Amino acid sequence: MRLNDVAGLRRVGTRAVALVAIGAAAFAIGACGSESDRPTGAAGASGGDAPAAKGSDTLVWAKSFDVESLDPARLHEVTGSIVTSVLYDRLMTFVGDEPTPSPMLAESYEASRDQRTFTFKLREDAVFSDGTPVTSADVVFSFRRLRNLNAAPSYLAAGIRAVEAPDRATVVIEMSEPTPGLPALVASSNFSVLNAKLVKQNGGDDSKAAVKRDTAQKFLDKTSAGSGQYTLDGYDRRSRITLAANDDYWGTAAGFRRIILKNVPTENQLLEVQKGTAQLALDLSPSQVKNVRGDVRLTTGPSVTFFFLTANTDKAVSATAADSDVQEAIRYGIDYDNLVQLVGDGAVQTPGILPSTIAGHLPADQAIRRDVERAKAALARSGIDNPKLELEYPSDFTLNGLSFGTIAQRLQSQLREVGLELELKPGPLATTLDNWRGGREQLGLWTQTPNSPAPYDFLSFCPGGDHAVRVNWDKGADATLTGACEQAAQTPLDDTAALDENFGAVQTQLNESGPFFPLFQPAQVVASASWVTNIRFSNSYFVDLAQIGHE
Amino acid sequence: MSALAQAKWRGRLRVGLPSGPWRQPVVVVGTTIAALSLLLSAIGPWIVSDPLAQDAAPLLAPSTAHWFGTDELGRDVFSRVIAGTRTSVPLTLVLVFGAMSIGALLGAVAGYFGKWWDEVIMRVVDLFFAFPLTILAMAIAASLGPSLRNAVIAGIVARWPAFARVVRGAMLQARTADYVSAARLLGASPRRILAVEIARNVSGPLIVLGALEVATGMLLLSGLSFLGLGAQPPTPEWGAMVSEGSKHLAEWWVAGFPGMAILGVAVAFNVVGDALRDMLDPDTRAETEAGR
Amino acid sequence: MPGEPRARRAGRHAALGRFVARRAAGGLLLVIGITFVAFVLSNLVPADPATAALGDRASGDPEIVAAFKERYGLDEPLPVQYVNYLGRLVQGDFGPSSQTGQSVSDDLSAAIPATAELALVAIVLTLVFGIVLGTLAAIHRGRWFDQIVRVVTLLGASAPSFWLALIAFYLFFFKLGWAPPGGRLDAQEAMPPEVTGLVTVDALLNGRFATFWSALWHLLLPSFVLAAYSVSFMVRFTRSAVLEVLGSDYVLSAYAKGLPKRKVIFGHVLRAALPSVITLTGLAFATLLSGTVLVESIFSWPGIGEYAYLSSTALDLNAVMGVSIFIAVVYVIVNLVVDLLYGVVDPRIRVTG
Repeated sequence: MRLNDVAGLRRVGTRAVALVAIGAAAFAIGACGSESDRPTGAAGASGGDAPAAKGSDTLVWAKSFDVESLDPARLHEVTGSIVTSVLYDRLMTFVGDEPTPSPMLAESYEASRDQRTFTFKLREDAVFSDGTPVTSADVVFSFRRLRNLNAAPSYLAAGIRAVEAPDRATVVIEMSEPTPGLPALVASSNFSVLNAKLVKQNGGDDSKAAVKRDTAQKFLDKTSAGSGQYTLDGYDRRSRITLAANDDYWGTAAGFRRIILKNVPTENQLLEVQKGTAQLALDLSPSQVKNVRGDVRLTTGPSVTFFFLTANTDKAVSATAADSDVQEAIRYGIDYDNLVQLVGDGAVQTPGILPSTIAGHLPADQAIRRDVERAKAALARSGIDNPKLELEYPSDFTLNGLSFGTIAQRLQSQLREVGLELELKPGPLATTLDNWRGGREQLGLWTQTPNSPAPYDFLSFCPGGDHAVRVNWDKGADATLTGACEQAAQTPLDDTAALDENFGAVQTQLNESGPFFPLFQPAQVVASASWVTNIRFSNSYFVDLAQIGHE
Repeated sequence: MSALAQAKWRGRLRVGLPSGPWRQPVVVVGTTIAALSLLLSAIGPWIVSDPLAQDAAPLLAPSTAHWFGTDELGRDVFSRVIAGTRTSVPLTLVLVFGAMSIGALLGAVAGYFGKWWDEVIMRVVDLFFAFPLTILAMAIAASLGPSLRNAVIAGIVARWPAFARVVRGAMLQARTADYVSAARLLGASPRRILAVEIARNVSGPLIVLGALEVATGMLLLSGLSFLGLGAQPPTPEWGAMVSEGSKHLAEWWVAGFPGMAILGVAVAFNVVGDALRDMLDPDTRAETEAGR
Repeated sequence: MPGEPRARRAGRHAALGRFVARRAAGGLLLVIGITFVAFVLSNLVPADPATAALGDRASGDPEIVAAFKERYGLDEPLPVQYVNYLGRLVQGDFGPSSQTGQSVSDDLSAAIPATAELALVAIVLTLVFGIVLGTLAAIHRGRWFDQIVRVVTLLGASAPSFWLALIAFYLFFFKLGWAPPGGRLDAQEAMPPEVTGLVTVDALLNGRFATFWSALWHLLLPSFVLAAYSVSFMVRFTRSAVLEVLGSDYVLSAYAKGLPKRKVIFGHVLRAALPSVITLTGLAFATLLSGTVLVESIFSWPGIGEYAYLSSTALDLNAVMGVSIFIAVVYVIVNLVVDLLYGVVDPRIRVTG
């Protein structure tokens, strides 16, 4: 039964619609016509989210945040290490992609014969952002705090037996083991030099009881207590970090007046750079930038991180994986070129367990090439019928836009071609990490990013080393190799010829047999506005922000 | 069609023509899609090429060779979408039947025995309803480990309360209905009456909710897979495919088509559920809407 | 009510009081139950949270792991952990987050206003669009407007929210430039001094009108996407509720008596549908909170949904529990409010409920 005054009701309806339309129009005018509030001093930046004009003094960097803290003694992830690399100074530093460190707060250093004691001479003119000079006491405080806080990065300082300051400008570091890589180690962001007085005033503590006594993290997450090119202007852990140029910096002035890190998921970063609402993006993968359009500059290079496959050497875990013939089959069954192609432009095959950006790496022509016949023959020799292995990898972790799943699937189809069947077993990072540490994985797919870009870290792949124990490869397993590893461990960092020779020997042996299969280094791609200049990759800090500038 | 013509046709076909809610074009389309998805989930793998084959160039636009284009590993998106029915649809059905079984059982117990059973079970139901759906499912899937099986379990745990509430409500109604008392007065065996009346009362809402829950379940499963907590690569599953495609938004087809597939199936089952409700249970329209 | 004998009024108030007390007690039990469920869930995880938080190298150092476990109280037996947790919870302390080392309460108080702002706008959209479009569709039943509304809401109720978010972002930000990039404000815009945590409100309170408009503009797209599902339900529901009432005897007799039509619609129709609309709003709220998990990350919105997801995958037990409990408590409160309003609007519930 129809109401006979539906027309009247309709008039009501039409009026309502009209009201809404007028409201929407008013809103649109209000939003578009207004200029956003802007802090003064940001010269050149235009209104709202219009693209920043050429030569702007503000750099907006779109990053997928994984930051947990900006306290150098607590941070252990990428965003934090890049940011602190320009908030703080260090004894030594890596400039751009140079494989050996250069002096920063230290003018020079001397190593004792046994590579155990290092004496650093500090420069006299370095000052913190509050004007006070940088002295050896600050270095001692920072290093002791790093070690005694027992936070995630503390293991880096585990080998330091003592840090002393005989006078204002000298620091003596005594290691418990010979550590030729120390100059590279102290160049990492975790060894940043803090303003001891300021940090102590705000709850900092470097004593043995620092675990309980130190409360400085909150302070350091809001204010930087350093001597770097930039100071920390704002910190909102999940959305925004603002850096302001340090006008009293003792060294080369900062390239921008402000750097703003904005939390943007990887999939949107390129869109923002193309649109101009951001000028720098670091998390992209080569396949993502393939069809990019617009005023975008792409800088590519191989990453220092490399992917590798592992096979368990414990027969109890997997007789198949531990079999040396199966291992040979894997080694020669992988199609390395195909993987590199998959990963994208700028990726390279890792020739040995040292990535191609580290001093002492193998030349590219010595890398393993695929040999299907050899792989099949090795598999036949093993005598195992229908060999099957489980490949475990983290399903929720991506590196440079590359997901482990993608690589695992490709490996599966490659090894299937030589007759080895892989069953993929993805899991959340926490679980797979647990299995990996427990030595329970049959085959594992992992990445290695060195703590410091010196070759010594990679000796963890030697029998008995950190990586080797994960596949149950104990120290006594291979005497010759262990000998070569020990020799390499003692090579001083500035002797490039000896580095090449000793580390070359280790890598060659590992390439002949062993449970590790280095795969590739993914490409790093940086997408930036075309007017951002001097983008250089860094082994330590991913991108050397200290060098960045604009036209 | 005139009434006379309809009668003639019915006579010839011996089967009912669509009538009432089933006649509208939207419903016809919806039902067809639903049926098609079920069909494809059964025969899918035989009519398309290998969804795992990585032999084409990556990220090709849709063309006659690849109707839906290729994804970042060079796999044919069309094959993967069709193969995805095999993953998404049956598992969603498992999810719904699982939730329905548990929910109906507990709801029936609560409604039939009443008192203490009712209190306890309904409090538990409230407890589960207090967790917003995705967060509950996500927490469960994250705890158990990401896999399709665990995602389905998470979905069942998350959705059984909806069925429990509906069945309990219907059960309560049946118990106190006048005709039950009347029939009992007339001397009919109480157990038999109860069984028949309960079945009649409960089956309607249950079927309706079941159909609607297929849509919800589909969205839940694909949502979990999108977060990485459900289907694992290389399994072709629509939610996971949208997630992979999200890294290449400019190549819209990688995420676009799987998303449309989810949308299509969800729409279809929503429509079927609505039609079923109009047919079986028109009074509870508001209740069912509110109870989800 | 005027003229009511005092005793009767007192009686009514007492009934309302009992009603509230009953519901509140039930709510409290529910919250305790939730803490238990959250605790069980977060401890079901087969892997060790220490490994997850510390990374590969650090978790090889037993001293570091021990310090970590001590800091987060993971070295006690489970029941003890639960009791300790409840004790701290009563004081408002959710414990430290194993991702940041900072307190979960701090993390939550930063994340809550963001989601609250989003949810509020989404609820407003749900109510406004839902009721208006639903009523209009019912009035124009069968005509093209109604058909379009029904198709659109069908799509809205069936579309996967994460997919919708991706498409919306790509289309409206990148292709058309109508929407801003993600985040609550632009990178270069200063946040207004914090009063409530809601950027729009804080901007107004500080006289920063440009920031207000910008914040509102940033809110639009995410809330639309978030509200798509609940708007669709509200429209369909309102439509059928209004249709039911339009055809009822009461309305027809009102017309027959000569009451003005507008008054009839606003006076009776909407009032009759109100109780159910209230209930549905409460449910819509839950759907919205649930949807934040999928939608927030895409718009770089630092809210609870994204926080819940990040904490789940990082196995940050304290954070997961904190988020679950908080959301459940909010839901319980919303339900309580809804029940109360329902009781106010429909007196029969008060007496029997």
